[in-house]
Amino acid sequence: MITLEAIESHFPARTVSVEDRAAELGLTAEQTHMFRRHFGIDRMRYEPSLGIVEQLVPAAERALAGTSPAAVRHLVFAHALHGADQLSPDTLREVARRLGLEHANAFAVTQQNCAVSMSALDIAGTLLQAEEDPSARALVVVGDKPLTQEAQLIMNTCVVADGTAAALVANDGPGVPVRSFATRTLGQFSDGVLSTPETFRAAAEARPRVLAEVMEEAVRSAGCTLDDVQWFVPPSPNLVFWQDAVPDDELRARFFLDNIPRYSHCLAADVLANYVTLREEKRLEPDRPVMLVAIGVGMTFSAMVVVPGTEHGAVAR
Amino acid sequence: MSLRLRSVVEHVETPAAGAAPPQHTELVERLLARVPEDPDAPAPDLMALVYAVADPQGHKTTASHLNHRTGGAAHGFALTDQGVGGPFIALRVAGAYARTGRGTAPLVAVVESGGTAGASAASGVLLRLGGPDGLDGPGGPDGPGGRGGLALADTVAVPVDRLAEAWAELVPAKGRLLLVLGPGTDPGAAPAERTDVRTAPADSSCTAVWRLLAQEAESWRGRYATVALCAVDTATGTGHLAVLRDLDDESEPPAGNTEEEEEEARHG
Repeated sequence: MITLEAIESHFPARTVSVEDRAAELGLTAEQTHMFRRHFGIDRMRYEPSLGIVEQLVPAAERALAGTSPAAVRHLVFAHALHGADQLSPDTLREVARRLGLEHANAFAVTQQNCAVSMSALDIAGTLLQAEEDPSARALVVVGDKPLTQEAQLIMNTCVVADGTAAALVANDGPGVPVRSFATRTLGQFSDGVLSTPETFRAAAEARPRVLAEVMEEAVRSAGCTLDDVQWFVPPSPNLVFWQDAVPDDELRARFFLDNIPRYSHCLAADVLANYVTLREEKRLEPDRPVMLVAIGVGMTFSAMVVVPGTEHGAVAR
Repeated sequence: MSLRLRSVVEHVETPAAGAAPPQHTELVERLLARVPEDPDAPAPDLMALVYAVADPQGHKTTASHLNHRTGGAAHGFALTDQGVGGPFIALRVAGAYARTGRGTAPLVAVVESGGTAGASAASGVLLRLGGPDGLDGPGGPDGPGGRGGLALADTVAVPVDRLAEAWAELVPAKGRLLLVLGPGTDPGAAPAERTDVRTAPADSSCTAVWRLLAQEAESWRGRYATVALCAVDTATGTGHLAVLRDLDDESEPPAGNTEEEEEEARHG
């Protein structure tokens, strides 16, 4: 079974209000008001002087703490932004060098947008399962640093902020067990933000149904039910997105959305970063399922059930 | 569990001078137009779109598009940031999923828009693989998708200074080895015995050796016990190897057996 030996996140120290960031992005007062009142964003971390490597390394170092670099066989970089103008081709090699992982099999996984972190975990874990060395580890690093205004402000509904995450993966290790992973891609929506209005409408109509199906598949594979899940841990685009995607009020009440006003949207890193917040705030109960869940533009739905114990930071009430 | 090569197709074009190179989605569509009819082939359950250089456009998720065009049932993603090693890593991932029983019909598409140093042509290769499920593919049992043919035995990464040694270990005790050499490799270091060498097109980089596989795989059946595709990522000094075995070949396993196995092979 794939296990998550460490899950960590990193946010730069600099905090900016949504008003200040909106001004930097050239938004109108009305647009800024929408982000605060309607989309639920108060502030975020944003440090223009820090590149993606400088942001990925701290989370990765924390995830690697206590692990010999020699044990890490694979380094997987999951990122949402995939255009040629967003990422230097040397990024992963530099991350590997900074972490002492030049020996590792290093590659990136992308084109699932905010859902990509779960695929990365599954791919990393599956590589380890096939290699059958219980001491081997894989490191998944997750993050983006949008370089264009178009990528920093998504369709006037999301303000992308700085934040990264990392997870150390094992096979049958003592870490948090991954009980299931379900994913489905509706590639008829692959035009993403450049879709026609009709396609946008069709995608919005499909989202609740397909998300529910994938979530059901994940709990079924994990041997539990949606009622058993203590937290659903999603990405943090804004508050409105999940109101539309999860019409069931009771279900949505268990979606962890508290980081939206604090950190805004950190793209692919959100899911793992939000999990870390729940753990650090001691809001995870031991031995109860937690579902990592995401919808990535393009359109990929993913759900992963994990069950943290007290040894993983869950706290009995 | 070896993944049998069901089909492999290529597409190549030289962009007109001054014209924008084709985007990844265009290359994918041109590849799909070349995939042979294979009504018995299951829809891919694992799908990797591989590239060394990202598309200039960053909105369309071509991996999702390819997934949709091939049945929409796959765990699909794009795999990148490995240079020429990308396709080898994708096959390693596919092999891992197959070994754990969660991806027995993988599809790997490699695309290269061209117009860069070492890749003047725009090209793509699409590989469909499948487990030993006994299904016949195009051309019946003896066709390229039939029960025989080439199967992916292993993919490994080797420091470039140990490549010659790795090649030598692949030479079978009986039969011949075909080395398909791509960017960064040295044909002069190929083993002297029972080894033939094919050199991949110079106008491609990430797709190079895979293009040769698409062009000539059918002609290799029955002639080579082992086919090894190799390319070197000069930025990291890593040699990437994909080893294919001929399922029709009844030769001995490659050199490197135990002494007892060698003795038995010689004397029966």
